Amino acid sequence: MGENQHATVGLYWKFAAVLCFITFIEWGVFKNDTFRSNAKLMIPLLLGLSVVKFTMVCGWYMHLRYDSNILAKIFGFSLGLALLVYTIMHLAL
Amino acid sequence: MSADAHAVHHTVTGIDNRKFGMWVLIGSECFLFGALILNYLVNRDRGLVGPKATDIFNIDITTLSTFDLLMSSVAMVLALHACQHREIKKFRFWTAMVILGGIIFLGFQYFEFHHFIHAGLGLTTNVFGSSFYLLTGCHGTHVFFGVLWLTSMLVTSFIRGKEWFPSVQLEVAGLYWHFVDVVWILIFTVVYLFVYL
Repeated sequence: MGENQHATVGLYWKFAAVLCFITFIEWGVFKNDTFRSNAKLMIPLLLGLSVVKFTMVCGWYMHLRYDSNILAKIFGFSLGLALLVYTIMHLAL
Repeated sequence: MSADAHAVHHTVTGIDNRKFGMWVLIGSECFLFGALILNYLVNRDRGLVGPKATDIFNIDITTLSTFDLLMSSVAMVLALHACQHREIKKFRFWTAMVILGGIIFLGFQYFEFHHFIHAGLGLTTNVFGSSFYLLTGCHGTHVFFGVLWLTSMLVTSFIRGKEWFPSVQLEVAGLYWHFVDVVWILIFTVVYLFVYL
């Protein structure tokens, strides 16, 4: 199991700090009245931050960055198809 | 090397079947949670009776539980790292920390559900309540089974002794745990932070 030989304990802790910091920013954005009253600003900002967290956990903690491409393709295809199907359904409902 | 470390299967893909199977499961879970999130988004404003999300959500508490789950993910990678490097004390310690993080998260969820029910939002009060409990309850059930899975591995570690390093099994359990974490990252944003939108 040498797939994650590039990841170190130090890197895991750095990512943990970044993930916590992003969550703190999300909380701050939610508490800020300027953002809360401006959906056009708040939605892309919070979605962008959650995508960053999502990518960090999948890429490094789940080792997709280091593992076989087949696994990333399985996950990417499933996630992409689910997003496509449910976005279409959401728009239709 | 332990027997588990040697038990590498020769497969067409070159990937251990257990790990490959977990990724296929995770792929199918994308559809499950996608459907539940969509169900929530469609129904959240359709409740005619009972409290609304804006009346009862406590973002401060939910942010704390998000921190907790993120930290349990860190503990999970550290447990796997220790297991792969045959450090028994660290492997057991970090696995115990993951379990503790999961239990604390479930405690937060129990507190939240208890508060909501006392505020008048039951499972059948309105469609908002039903879709909310279905989504977060399904996620909480995943956390619960993750806690059971990791607890069984920790107990087995004490039974099998200091030479048992189940790297592949722990990696598969870790994939499951991290996926539960990324699902919560999305739920935290879409369900809780978008409550006023």
